[in-house]
Amino acid sequence: MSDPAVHESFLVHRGLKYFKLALLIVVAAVVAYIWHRPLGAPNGGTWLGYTLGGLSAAIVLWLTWFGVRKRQYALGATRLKAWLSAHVYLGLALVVLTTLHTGFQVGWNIHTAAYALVLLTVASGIFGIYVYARYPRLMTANRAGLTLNGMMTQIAELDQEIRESSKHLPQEVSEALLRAAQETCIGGGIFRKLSGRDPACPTGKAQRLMETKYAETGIDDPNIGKVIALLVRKSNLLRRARRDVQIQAILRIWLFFHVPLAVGLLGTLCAHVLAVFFYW
Amino acid sequence: MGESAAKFEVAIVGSGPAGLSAGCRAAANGMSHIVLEKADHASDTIFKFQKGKHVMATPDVLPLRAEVAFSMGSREEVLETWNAGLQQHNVNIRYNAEVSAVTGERGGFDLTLTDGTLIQADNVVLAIGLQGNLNTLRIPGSETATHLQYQLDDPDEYEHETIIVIGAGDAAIENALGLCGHNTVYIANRGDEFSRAKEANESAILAEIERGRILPIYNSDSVRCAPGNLTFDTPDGEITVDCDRVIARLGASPPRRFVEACGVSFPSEARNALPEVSKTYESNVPGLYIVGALGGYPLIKQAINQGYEVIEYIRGNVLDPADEPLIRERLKPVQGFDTDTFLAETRARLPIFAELNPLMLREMIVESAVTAPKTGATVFERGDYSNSVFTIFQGSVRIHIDEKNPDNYVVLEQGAFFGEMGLIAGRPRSATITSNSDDTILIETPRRTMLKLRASVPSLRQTMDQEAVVRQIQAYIASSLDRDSIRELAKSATLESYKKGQTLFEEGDEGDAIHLIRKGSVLVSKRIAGREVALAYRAAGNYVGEMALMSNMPRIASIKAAVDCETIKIDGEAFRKLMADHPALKAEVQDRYGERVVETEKMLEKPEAGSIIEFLMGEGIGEATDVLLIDESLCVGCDNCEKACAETHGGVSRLDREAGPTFAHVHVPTSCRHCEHPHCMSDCPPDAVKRDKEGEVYITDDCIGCGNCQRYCPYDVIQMAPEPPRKPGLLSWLLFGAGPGPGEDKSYRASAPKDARKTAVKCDMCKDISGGAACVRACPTGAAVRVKPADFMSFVMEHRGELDR
Repeated sequence: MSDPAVHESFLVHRGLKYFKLALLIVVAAVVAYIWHRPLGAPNGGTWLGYTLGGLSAAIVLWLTWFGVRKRQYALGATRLKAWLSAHVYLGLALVVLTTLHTGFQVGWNIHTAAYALVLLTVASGIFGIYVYARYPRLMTANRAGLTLNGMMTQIAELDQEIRESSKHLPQEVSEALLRAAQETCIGGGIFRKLSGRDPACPTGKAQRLMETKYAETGIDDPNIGKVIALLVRKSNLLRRARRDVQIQAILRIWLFFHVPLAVGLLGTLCAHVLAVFFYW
Repeated sequence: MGESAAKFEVAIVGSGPAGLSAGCRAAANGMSHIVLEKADHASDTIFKFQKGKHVMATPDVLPLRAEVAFSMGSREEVLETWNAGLQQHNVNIRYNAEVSAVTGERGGFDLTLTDGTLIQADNVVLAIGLQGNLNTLRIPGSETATHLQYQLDDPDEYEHETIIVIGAGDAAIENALGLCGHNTVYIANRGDEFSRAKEANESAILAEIERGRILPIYNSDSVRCAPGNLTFDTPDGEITVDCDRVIARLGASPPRRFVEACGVSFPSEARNALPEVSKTYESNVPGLYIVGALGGYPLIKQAINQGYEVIEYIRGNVLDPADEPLIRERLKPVQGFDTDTFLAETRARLPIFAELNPLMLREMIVESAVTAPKTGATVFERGDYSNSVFTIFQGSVRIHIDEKNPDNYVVLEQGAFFGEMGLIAGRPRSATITSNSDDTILIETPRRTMLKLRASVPSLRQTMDQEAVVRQIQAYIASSLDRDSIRELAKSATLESYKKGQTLFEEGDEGDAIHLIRKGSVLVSKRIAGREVALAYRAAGNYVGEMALMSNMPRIASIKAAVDCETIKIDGEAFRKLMADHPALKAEVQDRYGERVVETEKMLEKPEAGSIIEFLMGEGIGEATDVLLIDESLCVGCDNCEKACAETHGGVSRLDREAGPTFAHVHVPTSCRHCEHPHCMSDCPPDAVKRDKEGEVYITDDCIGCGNCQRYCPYDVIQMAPEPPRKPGLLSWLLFGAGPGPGEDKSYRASAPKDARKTAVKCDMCKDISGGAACVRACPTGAAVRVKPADFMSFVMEHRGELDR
């Protein structure tokens, strides 16, 4: 394509431009840290400490602004992808910058709390990168051209077919099938979503019931074979639908940590800065 | 009975658009007049339209000149306005008054009604239209049949009936569509297609036939009618269909016997021939005027204007045509021409317009722009997507063939036309055009007008196509050749058209003709190990078939139309001879041949890439000019693209990310492809669907919400949406949780009032927003890309790696 930036992932945006920028900052910081000989142990109060702290604070503010920038849809020609690329690499750089800023001094205080929150926020972000890099492919493979709505429609159609084929089956079986049609659900609570399974799925139960029951007695009614086949198809679709819900949940869940941690960090950072200047 | 009344200055026969307009004008002028209407209400033709039918007010540009108001609206609204007009002007109208004879001439007409009443008048205006004389079935049994009718007022009156609708025109289709909800409906068609009807009707009836809601009886001629059934002659023999009702919509023809009895002569014996009238609408009988459909002006607005004008002519006044001020306005940029000279000269100087009748010519000028660009001024630039056609009324223009060197140009002289390629191929302008002299005068005719003229004036189409073939061969195959050689070659060329999926030629076929694609695009494929593998896609402006020509072998690949196509088929022998005489041409073709051989080999190594091309073509990308694709290996499903679209377009997202098919990680979301020949433009009553310079197809505020574009779009990318409510700003949501947040708030549609005005919304490629398409800009991971046809192949080759993982 004419414009090389048109079709590539945010991770490799424009030949790793922001990775290189972040690397440069990190290397410069490390070199300065090694070169710098402060009075006493290295800490946040030296000129280098203040510089690293100030830089880190500025980066944190800029990173949190991403939440706003992402929603400024009409703004400017810069693509959000570029922002995300920079967000990722500058965020990763923070780990080194803030660690050097601490001078490896930690304790039970607000300052270390801010440092810890930086690490936690970045860690959740790293998980996000992993998720973004891995799961889209899995989702496409699992969907195989269907959407979740499409799966639901097919499941409803199967239910209808099962109902039509199971009119003259014994009460025990038809009750199980009715439950399978009415009570089977996809998703639910967050843990259910994330597990991608439902051990108590009424459809699975009905399938097992029919399989064991007719394994003993043998199949004399052609409808029974058909219903079992339909149940197997429904179970497969259910598995895929739950997997889809699971992947979608994983793709989102990390933000429920990343964003609150970032907001918490912002607060702690303010406290940290205020405390530093208050006790100056 | 012989009851005799006072003598009127004018008697108007018929109270349709023309008649009632004449009546109102006569009343407003204080003339003694009478309007005679056969039915018990005014305007019977419109009255008998299907309930709720949308009545159009074309031609849009023609100003209305009348005492009665008229604008586009439902049948009911239009009739109400007209009845109010009749009342307001106190028009002397007599209902249930059918005229059986008119005798005499100016100053002494006698009109005899069927009840024997005699009415005397100085002048007579015949405004009886054609619908009073519907064509009927003339088959055994039809005279006495009680289940046979020729009109349908309200389709909702019939339920649970079996109804046969005969006819393939708009009226028949509209009836069948209206009835099929509650009845079993057959539609009997003499041929096997509905191409005579409006496109919207055609696609609607084909869709219902597909769904099984209307049963077609193709290639059928009705032969016999008996109570409760109708018998057809079909290619499979006679069939008899039982039915409760037959509705035959066979059109109408002039009530010739009656008109001839009035003394009026017809120019020919043809069944649909119309009487000839003078410029003032007077027939060969002095004092007898004919207006409206019977006079050859079938449109309502024209008829209304004529009703007004005919009264003025009778009063001895001279009138400029209603569109005269508009034409004068158009001619402002040029000096030294009055309307009549300009129109006459247009016909004389511009061969493509030579056969336009005066009415068409006026309409063409009104809808066109006349410009006088000075030497060097740019008319349009290479790459623009504008699609009007220019004719050189005076002076000349330069065609700049070399982008880099503006001094390299050829001159096109007075009488020629240019810009037709955009019209035919739907492609951007292939060259920049500038004016070549200070006295240049150009007529720029918009796409819609030109298409209409091409459809109705065969000579215009022919002249244009002939010249276009020569130009296209020169532009796309033989740029080094001189005009005369190309003209010679073009003689062996024919225009071929192919439906989507049809084969141009098959691998292994004999034959060496070259196809230059002038509209649409094709898919090149080859059998490998028993499987058909797509090798390439060729858009309009490319040629195919040169391989067999160069190698003297049978066809080594198959070519299929990816969308509806038109090609210029050039005889192989003639082409080879030409190459022998012109080494430069031979080198040109050989170069292309070499490139293609290499490309084919590359593709053969990666047959997966072919599958992606085939998939994309199947999704209609073959007619796209710019399409949104999503790489699903990068898409995290955040829907930021949709939100961005909604936030930058009044709260309604024009794309549906999740919907649409996926193949090998390439997802085609439901979003506009900005087709080369936009289907949505086919039949927009207010002409609100436009194409911008860069190719963006968008809808202007003129949209009336009729939904035609939505029905035409094969890709479901247009929605009819009410105006969403305003939302609070971003920060109030972010900080205080106010409002539903960014993106489209889907709940408003359900809560919008039922009668809320809905308009068509679609992607406009963010043409009014700086920075490019918001969907692509807002994608955080780089999954969303917009691809143009020229980039499809490289996109596919680049993407191919995804398949290997």
